[in-house]
This record gives sequence, structure tokens and C-alpha cells, in this order.
Amino acid sequence: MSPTTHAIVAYAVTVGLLWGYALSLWVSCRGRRGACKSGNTEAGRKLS
Amino acid sequence: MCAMNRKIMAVYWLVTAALFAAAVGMVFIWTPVESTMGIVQKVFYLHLPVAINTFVACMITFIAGVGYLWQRRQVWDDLAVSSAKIAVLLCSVVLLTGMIWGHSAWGVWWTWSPRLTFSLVLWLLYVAYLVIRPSIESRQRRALVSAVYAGVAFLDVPLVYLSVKLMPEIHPSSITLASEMKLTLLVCFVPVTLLSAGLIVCRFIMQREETRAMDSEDDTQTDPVPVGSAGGLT
Repeated sequence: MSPTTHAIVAYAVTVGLLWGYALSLWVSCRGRRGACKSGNTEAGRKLS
Repeated sequence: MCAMNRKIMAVYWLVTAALFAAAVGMVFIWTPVESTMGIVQKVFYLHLPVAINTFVACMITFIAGVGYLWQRRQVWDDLAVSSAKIAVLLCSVVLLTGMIWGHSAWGVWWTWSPRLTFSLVLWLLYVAYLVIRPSIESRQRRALVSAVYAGVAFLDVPLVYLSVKLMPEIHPSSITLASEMKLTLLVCFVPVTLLSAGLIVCRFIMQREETRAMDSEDDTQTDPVPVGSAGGLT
């Protein structure tokens, strides 16, 4: 791998892990809110 | 979370994403290439802020552990586990970016130098923290064990920091930077810190919701005592 590839891969790893986790939290939050609103899932019943 | 809080969080994440993109653009477009190491030195602008934020996340876990031991309130344990999760995530980024930089600078992916070894130990300690917790069923006991463990695990943080100063080390202990590079490093600290803080807060909010859900589940499982039937003593 060239030094440029090393640098790009390092930034891709950082962005992927940190923003990927942030996105997964957001999706999880949305899922829970949806479950709470509908009230027809176990998670929704627990959290509502 | 109410609608107002959701809007504030949405604005927060948009600002953080914009600042992050601007910082990465500044690193690759505006900042000059370092003469000795070349373009791979640009990894440093994310590696160092993420490493400092790892220490901060570990410190929050430690402080929350002390808070739990002092007050025995569940909220401290929720904060401790939330920041421990983010500490593992950030430490993973530090190890991976460090390995990528090391492969280019030293020609090897990994070397057992004191700082690298203590950093790996730090990662393993906090992974073990998260793995051990679910094996303890009682919530109070889990929080107590976790709080004590967090205190012990935090001892590795000063070791990571001081290892380059106290022991013979291949890892750079201090780097001389040109003024543009210093400015870029300072700019990179802002979105990385906002991102880390945002992740800890979001994870903490979710953890509180999970705790409340478990509380309500425990309440429904508790058998109600019928009025006028107190064990036949009436």
C-alpha cells in the first residue's frame, strides 16, 4: 500500500467506525420511537 | 426525548458532521505535507484527538464509578457503561489508525512497544468490562462490581500517557509542527470532541430508557398483595 492509501484507509476507518456507530444509535432510537408509538411490539410496550 | 430535544440533537449532529467534513477537507487540502513522513503523517490529525477523547471517556467511566460507590444511584452506572462503550469504540479507532500509520512509518503493523502494549491492554480492559457486566444478574451487584472494576481499569490510562516519557519507546513522544499543522490539529479536536460527547450523551439517553423499561418490567412482575390478606395475620 502506498502512503496515500494508508492515509485514506485510516480516515475511512475513523469515519466508518465513529459515524457508523452514531448512525446505528440513530436508527435504534427511531426504531424504539416507532415501537413506542405503535405499541404493538415488546420493546414498545416496555418503553411506552 | 421530547420534540424540542430531538430538534436540538439533530442540529448538534448536523453541525458536528459539517465541522468534521471541514476538518478533513482542511487536513487534505490546506495543510502542507510533512517533509519527513509524507502524506501518512495526516493520520496524526485524527489519531491524537481520538486518543485524548478515549482518555476522557475512560475518565467519565471512572468518575461515574466513584459516583455510584458514593451514592448507589443507578444513573451513575448507566453513565459508566455508556462512556465505557464509547471508550472501546474510540480506543479501537486509535489502535487501528496507529497500526495503519505504523505500517507506513515503521514497516510493521504492530510492535510490542510500551505505549502500544498499554493501549492494547486499555482496550482489552474496557472490552472485558462490557463482557463481564451481563454475566452478573443482580443489578446492584453488577453496578458495584463494575464501579470497582472501572477504578482499577482507569489505572492504565496514566500508564499509556507516561509510557513514552518513562520507558524506551519507538512511539513519537513529541512532534514539532508548523503553525498551519498546529491550527489543523486544534480544528480537528473540535468535531472529534463534539462527536465523542454526542455519542456518550445519546448512548446514555438510550441506557436510561432501557433501565426505565427494566424497572417497569420488574414492577409488573412483582405480585400485588391483595388488600386484607396480609399473610393471615388480620
